[in-house]
Amino acid sequence: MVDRNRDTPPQRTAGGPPTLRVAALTALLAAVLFVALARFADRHLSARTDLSEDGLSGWSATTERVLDQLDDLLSVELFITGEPEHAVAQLHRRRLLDAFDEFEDLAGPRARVVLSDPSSSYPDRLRAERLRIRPVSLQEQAGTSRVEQDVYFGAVLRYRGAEQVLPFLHPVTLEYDVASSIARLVRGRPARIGWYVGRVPVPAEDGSNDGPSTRPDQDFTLLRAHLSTRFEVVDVYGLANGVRVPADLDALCVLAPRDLGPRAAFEIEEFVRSGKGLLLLADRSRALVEARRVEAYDTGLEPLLEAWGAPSSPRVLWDRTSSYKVETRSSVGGGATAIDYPLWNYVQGAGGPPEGSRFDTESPVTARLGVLLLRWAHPLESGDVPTAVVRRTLAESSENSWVIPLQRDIRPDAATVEATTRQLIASRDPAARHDLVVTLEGRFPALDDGANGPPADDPATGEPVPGTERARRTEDAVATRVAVVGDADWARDEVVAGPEGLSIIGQNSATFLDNVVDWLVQSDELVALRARVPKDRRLVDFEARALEAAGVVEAEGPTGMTRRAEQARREAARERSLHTLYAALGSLALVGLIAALAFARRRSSTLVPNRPEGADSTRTTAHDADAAGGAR
Amino acid sequence: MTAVAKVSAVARRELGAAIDAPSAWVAAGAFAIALQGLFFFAGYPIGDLRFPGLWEGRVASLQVLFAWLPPLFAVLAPAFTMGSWAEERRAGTEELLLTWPIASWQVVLGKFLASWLLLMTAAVVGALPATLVVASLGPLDWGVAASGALGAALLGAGCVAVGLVVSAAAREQLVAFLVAALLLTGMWSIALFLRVVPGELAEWFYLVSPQAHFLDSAARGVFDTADLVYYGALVALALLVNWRMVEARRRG
Repeated sequence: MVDRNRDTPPQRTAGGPPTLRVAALTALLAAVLFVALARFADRHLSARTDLSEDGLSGWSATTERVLDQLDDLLSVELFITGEPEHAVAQLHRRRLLDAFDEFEDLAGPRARVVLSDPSSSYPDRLRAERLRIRPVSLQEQAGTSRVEQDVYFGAVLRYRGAEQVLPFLHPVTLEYDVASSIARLVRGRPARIGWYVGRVPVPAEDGSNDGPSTRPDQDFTLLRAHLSTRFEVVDVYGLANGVRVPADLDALCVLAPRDLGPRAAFEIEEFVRSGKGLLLLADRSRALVEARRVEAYDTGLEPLLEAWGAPSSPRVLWDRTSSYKVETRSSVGGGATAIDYPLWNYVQGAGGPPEGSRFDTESPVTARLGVLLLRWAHPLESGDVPTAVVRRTLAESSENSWVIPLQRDIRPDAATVEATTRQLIASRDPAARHDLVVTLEGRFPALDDGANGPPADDPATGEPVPGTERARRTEDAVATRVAVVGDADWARDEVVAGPEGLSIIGQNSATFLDNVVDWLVQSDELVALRARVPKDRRLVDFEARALEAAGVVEAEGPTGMTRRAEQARREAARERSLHTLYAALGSLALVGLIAALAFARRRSSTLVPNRPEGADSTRTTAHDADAAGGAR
Repeated sequence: MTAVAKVSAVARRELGAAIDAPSAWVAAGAFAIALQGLFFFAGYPIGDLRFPGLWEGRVASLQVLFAWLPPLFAVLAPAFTMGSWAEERRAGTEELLLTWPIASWQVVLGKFLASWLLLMTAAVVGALPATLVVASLGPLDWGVAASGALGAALLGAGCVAVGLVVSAAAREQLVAFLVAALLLTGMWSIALFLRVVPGELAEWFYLVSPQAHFLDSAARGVFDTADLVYYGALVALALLVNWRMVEARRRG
């Protein structure tokens, strides 16, 4: 109903308050009210929705599942500086407090969050020091003065007398850090992971690599150190000599095993059949980069892998599409040049070419993995998988890949690479995808129809010692998980090392290892949480596409860009310009559409009778007043 | 005639006037060209949130586009609102308008809706084709795009409401434009000074800056009730001030 009194034009009176003063006063009051309202909403309204596909803002349902495992009250004590003088620290503090407000809402009565300020309270500072929560020193220019302050952003989680300390809370990793800490508290102890590294021959006195004695391969220290930050990593020795895999391990990582005896294989099989997880890097060759040659060997676990339906091939992968660029010396001129080396396989997550190597995006282990660099990878062949076991491929090569015999000479050479590729294309062997990482899940059958274990080897001579046979402990296998990778190089220090810690490729290798180990110890929630990284949203790479279409294998020669590569780059630039033009034309089309609508409106309005001729439509007229007045 | 019809009549009149005027077309065209040029090539090189242009960054994301909306709206919204009151006054039509049998709040709301619709149309003209191009070249996060669009609509509403207040207070269009643009650019640039102010003040600065309520939330796909209150309060209070000023003039 229309309030007719309100519609009546008020009587204009003289001598009212000056407009500007009224406006200024009202505006001032409104501004104060606005800031007060915004502050109130900021402090007290926490309802929010994350509409993004990645869903990275806020706590996920996975954290709720982790919280569901709590039987007692979880106490979270935040050690956060109350009044940071540094603006960025203040905003960091604000974000963390908002996040823990949401956490409290999510946890309900299961958790209690308390805030301590070590910067203003001496007892709080002492407790923070005891927990090894150290302040971060911030220095920055603030106006004319220099701000220097130590700020605390740590937390401790307590549950049933145990505690987990998070020395520095970072908003990006907050959910994973908190959820994994809760999972550890619920478990009571960190998972224990066995670490077995294959033995390599100790070089003989003459410098050859065929010495009689062996030592553990030293090339996996960086990822071992990385794993140690989250798990209790225990070295496992002497499997061939009758030492059992410790029963209190939750999972075992076997890296590049070499010529393991039947007893070692038996011990590993027994461990798996007892329901424990296994990660096996079933590499069958080792590249000696400095010597520019590669040597082949057996893992000794071939019968086991054969029985599980995932044997690793003695041959290596030649991937034409997803090869990694390596630097080589040109035979002409001797300059450094980069070529695609098909023996190095670059498995990519989202963003790679459709026909390229790929991860299983349905599995949380590899769903969000960026890359994995495999070198001289041995594909995992399709064997007869036991009925109680499910095999799943997590990574596979591109459609344009073959399996070729291992070549001793590993010098990357553009001419040889091209000749080999041509030869393979011409051969009867069709290109196909090959499995590079597989997982096996279920109850694993016993080898040799459940016969007892073979005798242990003598540590000195390596010969089997009669009478040291061992009876099976596991009559009925317990369901468990096994992951097999046909390469160990992705975990080697020379691949993962960066200038400071891990390289970008190394960080991906570390994430893959974390994911696999979490999966093996059945911490599926944590794998799911780690998979919560932004999806790869790279645009179509016009340049790569143009280079491929131009058939350019070698993008840069010793004397600079080749003509074809240059042409391909021009083509890519043209594509970019074209797409920019599409956007501009789209805008133009929309403007045209609006203009057409405006024109149509104008035409129809000129047909309205009694419209005062020559009336300026931008001004208020008596006609407008009539139109607005309508019924009146 | 109902209040809604009256508001709608004012809005239609304002829209018609804007479409008939070449200045709106020029402003919208310049906005679309600037937005796309910045988005595809220049990126966002200001403050702590720095993003490369689309072709350089090669990521299917609209972050750069969203990042440029607050400063561009700070100029475009005043361009659309500057004449709403100031031009009426200059042309002497305000007197006539105020004698209409229509309540002041209806006129204020009608003018606001018209300017807001204009601003949103300009934003769609500039952003939609760019969004479709990005989506055709990579996996665009449509959730973030939708949330960003909603956030941009709220941001635009706030800018228009502030622009109308300034237009109502100013005698000249140009003055209205300059003051409103300065005010809105000031609000946007608050986030740039966060690093050089003391921590406690930084929180207040952050609270009133559109960065906190658009770039750090809706433009990232997060829709927050606090942002709704922020923009709701900004629009409601600005329109209230506008109404008070019109009422004062009507009575004075």
